[in-house]
Amino acid sequence: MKNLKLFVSLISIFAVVALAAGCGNKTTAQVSETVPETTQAVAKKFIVGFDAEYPPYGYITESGTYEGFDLDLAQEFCNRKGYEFVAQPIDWDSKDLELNSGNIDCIWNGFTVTGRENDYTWTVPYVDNSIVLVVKADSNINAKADLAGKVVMAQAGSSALTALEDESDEEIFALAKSFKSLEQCPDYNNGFMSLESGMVDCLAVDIGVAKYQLNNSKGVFKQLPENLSSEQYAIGFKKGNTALKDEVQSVVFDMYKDGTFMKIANKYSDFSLPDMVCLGEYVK
Amino acid sequence: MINLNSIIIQVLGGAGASLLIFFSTLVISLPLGLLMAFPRMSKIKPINYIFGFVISLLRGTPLMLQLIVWYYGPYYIFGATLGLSWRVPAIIIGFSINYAAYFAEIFRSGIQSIPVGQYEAASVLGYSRTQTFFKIVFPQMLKRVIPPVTNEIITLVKDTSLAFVITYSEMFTVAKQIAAAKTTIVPLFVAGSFYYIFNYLVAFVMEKVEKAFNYYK
Amino acid sequence: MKIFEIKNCKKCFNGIKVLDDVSFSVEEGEVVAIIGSSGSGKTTLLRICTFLEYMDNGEMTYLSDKIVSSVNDKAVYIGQNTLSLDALNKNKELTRIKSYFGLVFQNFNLFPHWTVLKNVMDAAVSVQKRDKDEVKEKAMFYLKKMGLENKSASYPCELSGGQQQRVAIARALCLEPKIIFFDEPTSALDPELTSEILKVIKELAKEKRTMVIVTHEMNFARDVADRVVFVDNGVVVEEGDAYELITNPQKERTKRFLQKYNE
Repeated sequence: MKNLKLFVSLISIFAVVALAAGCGNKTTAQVSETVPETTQAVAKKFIVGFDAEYPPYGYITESGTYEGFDLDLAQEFCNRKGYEFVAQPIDWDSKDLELNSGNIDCIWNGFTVTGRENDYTWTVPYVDNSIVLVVKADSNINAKADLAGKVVMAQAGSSALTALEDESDEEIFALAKSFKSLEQCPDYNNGFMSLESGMVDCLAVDIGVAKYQLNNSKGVFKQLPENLSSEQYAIGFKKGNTALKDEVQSVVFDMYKDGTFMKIANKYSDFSLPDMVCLGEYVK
Repeated sequence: MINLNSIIIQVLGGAGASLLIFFSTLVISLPLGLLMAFPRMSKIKPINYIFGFVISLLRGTPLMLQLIVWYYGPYYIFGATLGLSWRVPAIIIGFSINYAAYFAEIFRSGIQSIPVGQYEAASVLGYSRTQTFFKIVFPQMLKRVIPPVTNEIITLVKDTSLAFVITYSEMFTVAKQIAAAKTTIVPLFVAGSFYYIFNYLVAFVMEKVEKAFNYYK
Repeated sequence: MKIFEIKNCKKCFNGIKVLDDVSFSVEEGEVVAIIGSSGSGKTTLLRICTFLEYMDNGEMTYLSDKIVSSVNDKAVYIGQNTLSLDALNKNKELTRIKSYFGLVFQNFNLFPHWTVLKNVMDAAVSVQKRDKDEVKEKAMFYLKKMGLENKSASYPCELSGGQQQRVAIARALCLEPKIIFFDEPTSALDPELTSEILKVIKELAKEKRTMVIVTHEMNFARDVADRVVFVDNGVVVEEGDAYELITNPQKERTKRFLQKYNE
């Protein structure tokens, strides 16, 4: 019956499906420059380094202001601590130089931990941008290698599809070439229905979406242990700057506990950010 | 700069899928519509009501929903795992039956608009029921239904884009994908042009057909 | 020899009696005019004779084929066979009986998608299965007789009402019926075209064709018909020699009816 429910739920929202392509409210977050002058004579500055071309984490708007999920979080952190927030766009290639010279206090900008674990002092990851592979629970597909000759599906326009079609990544490209075919679905409901009904053998999706489905349809699907790609975001500090890291992390935990964190994440639901937030796994 | 030629070629790649849906639907739904029109006009009340209900259901619910039911229904209702090979048949069945319902109503009204005097003359002259239909009623009905049928055919050309709801990448989907990948709306206009050109051809052909029937009033 | 006879014909529509015990017969070569006011039941009578309606009770005879209707037990009998009304429609016997008569409608009812020639020929070829060349020759002969030999390739919509009605008459003739029924053949035509059609029917009468004509043209009935049947309120009020009945009716109701036409 659970299966039928998914089917019925899709039927009931099919009209929405059509609209899903591109409506949503583009809430502008006022950040950085508009920090109110505090009465304190010299408020401590908290300087966040970020790449201004990385939406939705930090980016420049047409009017020249800086906005983004991470900048909103940093602003909230400063508000709670009474710090003066400075959003400092940096040249991404010089990020280490900026950090080590003390020009910036941290890199808070959808900063990928994977592969850099030992280069910085990291908070726990707060966003998981991994792409995972989901198959039916009773499927005999257990590893990427088993996908050869199988039909794999990804949502049109999704990062999973982009990854699978990216010819510059040799490993993923070779994997994609081993598939019988790579199909596209208009929305995830459709993707999971195609998977459940046996139309396709595997679905490549963002981890957040996968988790949601795995939790809500217990026992129908399973996630392969190997990810298609792994990417977790955390806030990076100069190696050894544990004090500041702990200060930021504990405030961020508080923000998560009182709901502020998700409230900010929800502003960027167009980018399915709320689904990708993984901080909950670490907050005690 | 975006290469227009490559966009056109890519979009055209999806046109084959659209044309497959279009022609299969047309070839199946026109005769099927005629077959459905008869029980719809049946003097036997239950048959009449059943077909009236089925047709109203097909016309009264979105094609998108019907496609989902045809595609996923076998699994979610009967537990049959049909695999991806079921996709094209499901699309053609869904489109054909949906359009047959519209055609059935067009044919029914066309048949019922033939004056009773035509039937009476045929009866007195000794024509059988079958002869009366095929020699006298059907040809006159054809002439009367051409304009509404043309409307439906033009709608069908555009409706082929609905096939993506069950993951079938036809022309418009391909265009959307290229548009997303290259962040340009040019592919959408290319696809739009193809729909227009194709419908222009449809209208042109149907106008010829209509003219061919103009030899009598 | 009797070509056609109807006896004790009864017909109700929704409980209202339209025909009550009507009987009349037609001899070979005879022209019978049926007159009566609108709603008298004369058109229904003609439709029963041509199987466009079924009587509730009564019997009809075409030559030696007897058709007995008794809708009370939902049956129609042709000769030895008992048939339900539905089965009758599909019955080959009925097709054979239908070939005995022709009917010319008030509104012509030509087939608009066929040429004049095809309208005249088709039933003979596809119903009576006659030889196409023979039928074509015959069709052209009748069209010529109707003064339409140069219209054979035209479509009905290109013809005047009078011409269309002449095509309809040729269509009936081409099937070589034993008897032709005319249902107010001039009612849809203006006076000029009416005389054109009456002239044609007069010609046919001269050839001793057996005809039954429902008409409002009293002078025509008087001059052309051999016999007149006056129907009123679903019963035959008076029947007799055409000239006698119209110039000197015996029954009060007939007199009143004819008076209206003389005014």
